[in-house]
Amino acid sequence: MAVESLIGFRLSERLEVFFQIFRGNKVSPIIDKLDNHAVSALQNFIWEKTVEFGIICRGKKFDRKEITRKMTPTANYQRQQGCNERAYYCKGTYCIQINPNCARKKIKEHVDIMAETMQEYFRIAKQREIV
Amino acid sequence: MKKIVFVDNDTSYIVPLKTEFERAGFEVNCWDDAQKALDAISNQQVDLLICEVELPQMDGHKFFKKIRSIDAFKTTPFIFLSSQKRVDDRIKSMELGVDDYIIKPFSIEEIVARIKALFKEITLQNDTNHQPDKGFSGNLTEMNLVDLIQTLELGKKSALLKLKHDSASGLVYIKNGEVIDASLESLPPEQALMRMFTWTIGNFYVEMTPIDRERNINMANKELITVGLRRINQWEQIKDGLPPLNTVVIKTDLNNSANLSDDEKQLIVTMDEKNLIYELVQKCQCDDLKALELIKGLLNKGYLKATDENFSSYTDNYLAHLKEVASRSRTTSERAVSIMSSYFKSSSDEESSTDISNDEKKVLLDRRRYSRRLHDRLRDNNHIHLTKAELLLIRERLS
Amino acid sequence: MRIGEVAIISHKASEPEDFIKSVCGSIEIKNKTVSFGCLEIDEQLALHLYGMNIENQNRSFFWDIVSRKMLGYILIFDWDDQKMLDAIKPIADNFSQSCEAPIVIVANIKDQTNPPVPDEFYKPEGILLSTNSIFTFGQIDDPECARRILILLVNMLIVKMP
Repeated sequence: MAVESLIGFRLSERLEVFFQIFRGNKVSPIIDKLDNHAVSALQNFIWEKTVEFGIICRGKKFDRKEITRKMTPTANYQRQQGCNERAYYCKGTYCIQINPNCARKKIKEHVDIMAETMQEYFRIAKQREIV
Repeated sequence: MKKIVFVDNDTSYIVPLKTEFERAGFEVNCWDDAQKALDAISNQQVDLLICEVELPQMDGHKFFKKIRSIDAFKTTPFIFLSSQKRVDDRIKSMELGVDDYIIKPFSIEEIVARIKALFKEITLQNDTNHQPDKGFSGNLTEMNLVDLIQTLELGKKSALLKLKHDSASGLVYIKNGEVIDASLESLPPEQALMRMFTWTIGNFYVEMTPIDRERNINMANKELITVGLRRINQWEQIKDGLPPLNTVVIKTDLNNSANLSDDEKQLIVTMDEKNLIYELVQKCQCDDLKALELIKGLLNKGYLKATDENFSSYTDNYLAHLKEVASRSRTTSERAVSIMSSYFKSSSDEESSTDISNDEKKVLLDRRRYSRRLHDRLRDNNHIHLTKAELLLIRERLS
Repeated sequence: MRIGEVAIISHKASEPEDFIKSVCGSIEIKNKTVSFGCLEIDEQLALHLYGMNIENQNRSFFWDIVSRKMLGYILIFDWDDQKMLDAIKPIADNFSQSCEAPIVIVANIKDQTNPPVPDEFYKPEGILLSTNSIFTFGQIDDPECARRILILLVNMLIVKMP
């Protein structure tokens, strides 16, 4: 099994992400300290965790749309930015290399939404415990 | 005398480092500017270059590239110093091909130890005359015979292992990951292997080569390794209450042999006037572990006496400590904690008083140097030293 | 005797000591830099726990040598103390980048009745940070909790074995 990549999204940065989420803070400020590769990795990481926590909290009722419906759809975002590139540039990790500022802005919005969603799951679970 | 060139514009390092290097027996030239250093040394014989990465005008990386473009310096060892802590910066530097990278602040003893180790490694490579591309080498303190066998077994490799311990040299033949033969002096193969298992100080060279030899060791690797590990453990436990194995021991005047077993009597009879402990082990006709036990018994009963010869590296403290533990062994736990504590380099003199022996300290410092090739290959292979069954047992116990 | 070794690391000395006491019952040996506890599994097998603190270390520590010996690491910080988290971050990065041994990072919470995150999110398996590291909350002076944390580490090792 390979050791962690020496570049990109470090363990300490993942730890910092959780630290902020569990404290009810925004995650987007962390993005400013990361390189492009790490930013993509952070987005994937938070997405996986949000889905994981969603399943833990909501079980079979979980649907990814709970998370994605709060996000600006890709086509709308491109229009807002005046971007004429193809749609798939704006999904995934493509544009982080081409236009990092624009991609980072979008990713910041997404990660904050995902963090809020996770915090919402915690609140739901806590209320269940109390009840 | 080895010549070191040191390039750094930070005088707070230059002065103490120069003093320590000279005290350690090196000739040192210091420069605060890379270009000046380059101009001065281009026609000189230099054994080691140490350079700060962040220098004004010509930085360390440029200096390194320029130095390597000079034929005379193509293989001269080169060490970077830097306060850059980011892994990316270190990787960038290491990828250039330097031999080591030391982060500031560092302890001067550490850097001197690293440099001595680096020179030793170079000498070893020159002495063994091996072709580096065919294998790898290292230190038995880093990786003992059990570790080597396990590593080669994993990859089902064929290789010839050459082990060197003090003046003794042994060979182990591994075919498709299985140990098939071993040779050491005139010992039978299994006995030779058992002896080499206990070699935790020394060097090894692994030559990756097809092995065409008859099988003379019939035990399976798993069994060999289990036995090997047990032997190492037992060896270390017995060794604990003894002086170092290169200590000279002599017979005392005690005549009453009624207290002695037949084996002990036999050992005393076969002794020369003076013998090193490890020589006695080799002379004794019984198993090495038993031989060591016998020697320990004879020392404790007073029939043998350790002399001060080869004690030169020992302090008075250690001698006093030896007397104290003559009748008992230090527990494994105390020893383990002492070793672990020594990894913390303390600045206080109080704490540097010998909790562990100077030999052990030397071993620990030696561990810092490892073959670059071995390190690269094995860096990712943390051994899980326990079996799955043992881990399941631990989980069971914790639950 | 077969021995497994685990390093417990924190900014202060008290955290590793509390952890070792919780698991082993007592600290066997202690000096300024290292505290040691032993958990005997049976007459052939033991677990050695080394507690280390990094608070007053003014020189480099041979983490690369330590890392070759250990089964795994437990890094502890107080949930309420950002400074402690910042102190262990470089060590977490160092271990994760230089060796394969698993790492459990524990946020020590003093008030177990009101954890920051409900139990169901972290209690059974921790929160996976990477292939080799897990995050969990815990109360390290609670023996049950300390053992649960060790079990997380052991589980990560078992999963690696064929």
